[in-house]
Amino acid sequence: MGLTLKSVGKGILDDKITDGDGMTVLMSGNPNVGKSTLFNCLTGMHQHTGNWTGKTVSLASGKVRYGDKRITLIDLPGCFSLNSRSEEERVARDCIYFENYDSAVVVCDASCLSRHLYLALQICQVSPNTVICVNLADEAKKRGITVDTDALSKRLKAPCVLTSAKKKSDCKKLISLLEKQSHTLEIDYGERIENYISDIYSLVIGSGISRSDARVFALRLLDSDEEFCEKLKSKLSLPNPIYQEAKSFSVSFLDTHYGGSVDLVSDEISDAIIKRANSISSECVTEKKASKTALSFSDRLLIGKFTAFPIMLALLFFILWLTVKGANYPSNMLRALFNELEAIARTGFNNIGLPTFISAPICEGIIRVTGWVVSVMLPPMAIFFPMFTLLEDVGYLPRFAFNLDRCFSCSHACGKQALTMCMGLGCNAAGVVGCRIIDSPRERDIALLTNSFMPCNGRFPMLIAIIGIFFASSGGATAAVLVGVLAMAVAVTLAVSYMLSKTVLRGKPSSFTLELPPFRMPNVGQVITRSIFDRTLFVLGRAISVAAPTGLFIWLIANINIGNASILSHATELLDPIGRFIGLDGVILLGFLLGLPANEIVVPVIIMAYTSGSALTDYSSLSELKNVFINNGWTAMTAVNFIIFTVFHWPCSTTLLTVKKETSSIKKTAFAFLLPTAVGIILCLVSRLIFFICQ
Amino acid sequence: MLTAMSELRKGESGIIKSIEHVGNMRRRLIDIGFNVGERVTLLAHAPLGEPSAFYIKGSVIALRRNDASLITVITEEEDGTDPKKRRQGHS
Repeated sequence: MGLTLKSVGKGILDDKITDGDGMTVLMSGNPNVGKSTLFNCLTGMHQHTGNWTGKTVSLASGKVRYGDKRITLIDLPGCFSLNSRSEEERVARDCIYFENYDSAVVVCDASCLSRHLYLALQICQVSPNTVICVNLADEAKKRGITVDTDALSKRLKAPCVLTSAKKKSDCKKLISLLEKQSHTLEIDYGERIENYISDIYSLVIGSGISRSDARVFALRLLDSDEEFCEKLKSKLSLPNPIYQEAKSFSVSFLDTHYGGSVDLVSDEISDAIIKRANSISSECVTEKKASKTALSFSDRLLIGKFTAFPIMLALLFFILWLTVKGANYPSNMLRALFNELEAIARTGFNNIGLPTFISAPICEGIIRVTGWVVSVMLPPMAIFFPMFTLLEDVGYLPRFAFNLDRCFSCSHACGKQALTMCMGLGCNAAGVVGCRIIDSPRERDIALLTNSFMPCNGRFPMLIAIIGIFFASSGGATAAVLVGVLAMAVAVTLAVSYMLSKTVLRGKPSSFTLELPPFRMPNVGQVITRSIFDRTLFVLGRAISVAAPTGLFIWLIANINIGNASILSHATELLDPIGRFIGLDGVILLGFLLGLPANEIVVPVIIMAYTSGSALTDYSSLSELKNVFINNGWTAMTAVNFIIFTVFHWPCSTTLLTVKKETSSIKKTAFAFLLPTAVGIILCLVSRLIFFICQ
Repeated sequence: MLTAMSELRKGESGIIKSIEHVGNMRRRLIDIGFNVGERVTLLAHAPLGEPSAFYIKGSVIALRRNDASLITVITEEEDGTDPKKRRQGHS
């Protein structure tokens, strides 16, 4: 799952398949074969694309009109086969078997067709209307590989089309093929299994099941996946006695011939499919050059023994530096703009004679808080995101996970956690959903619970602002400190993962595979416009929906008095002892509490609280902000602890809801809240102790 | 000669003889191309020594040492010339 309007923030919580009229078409295929790119080309939607396995973890759907055809297209998460039981591939498998659809497109990679035909052959046996789309034809051509689609079409008994996902004409060709009817394919599994299939067929034939459905059913029975077979039974409306009879027949078959070993029989089944795939591919694919089996030059640098880590740090520094530097100018401009807006609004309200108790909350509450969120938060995101997306599209992220895997294996965690952490850098809720790529439930929980240790883009600009105010004068220094903060976040993630593996989530690291895809040239222009456009809209929407009402709320509690003090000062007084104990203060703690729906508003809340009692302060620059903080008792320790607490505190409400949805456990959700909070408090206390000793 | 896939040297190839993994991991490996009879090449080790990147059926797959050691391959060349270079045991 990439970072899009729908996949970050609240959009993440609904993933219904929109069921329209017209045709429904499933897009399936191995991970990282360009399904999403093809999907975007067909639907004109901006489903995020990226060059790594497991990027799409949930369904996306879009509509296409082609002549008088109306098609609902569903982009399935990538899967290698229909036999796997991993969480990640289950979604795609269940859709192929149980969803109501008219056609299934199997997207294959022209450069390694035989591997991709393995899935295609499986789907051809299940779905009566399959279209094979041999994608990445341009990439294959460069490597001297050509595919004969006519021959392929004959062998698979399904229409085949050669595409390069970026070409519109190819997409149209694919759509035009969607109507043709074809038949399911039969693969010869050898005498023993074929006899078994015929026996099952004669058992169930009375209930009116077609031959191809009976074959599918017989093969799935051998898989001994009870839950799946039950679903298949109700889909085929098989009477229970017949189902039970077939089941016990398959169990006894498995016992007599394979000693009850599911592995043995599934080996035999996949062997037959692999043989067929290999023979088809050797018939239909011609390779001019022998395939290269050495690392490319860029890979030798990016995963090289001595170059990998320096390049990694340099890249991170460069991205952060560009973000800090580039954000400065638009940030100042936006701030000036909002200051002006506030002044205009105030004089405007005065002129029409609006009473202060209406104009003040609008000017000082709504406009000011919204202004902060937009001017300080928006520019860094607008720069950071396209760059991060470019790295993702090129295919750097899996290399990053490859380089760091050893650290995760020492923490008894999965190397793919590095990928989910990268997602968390964008949005923790997206990171939590991304944890589906981790197969082992134990390791998935570890990744899920520690995801909020990565500062998401709602917190990133906060860090940039505070570091800029207190610790660094230049953009380069800010970026360097930020690299340090991120390194600390990674270190704490590893340490906590290790501790979790030794206590509540005990266990050994499990097996996993990580694909390093070939580098791909991203569509730079599209990435930049898309991510700026999507992010801008998203952040502006959020600024208005969360910041504006909070601004109003803060103004109200700061200006309504109970006794001789405002509600705000009562609240901060109440929180003050706890805040002081961990080296912060009541106002900061209140800011974080109110920031639960969106971290973006933490700093504006704090500033509002500090400035509300006094005369109006115009904070048109960050240096004036520094005075506001220092006048309210901030020291270097407060700033350090503020940074620590920004990185380590409770996740935002959207992330918590996502954890609840992914784990369906209130206990784990509560733990996801308490764990980072406890870590934050402990680290703040440690830092307070260090400052105390040094003084 | 027979050897564990994790013991391949950088750039060395072998033909897969057997896979000792069971259950889900066995299926996953077969699904992504680690099939008996297929040629596999070790491309590189990660900078911290683990995991290793293997070239198999047109793609590059990284496996941790423990996981790679459960796959047995037949190397083509006669070995025994420099047994010291071949790493011993599991770390």
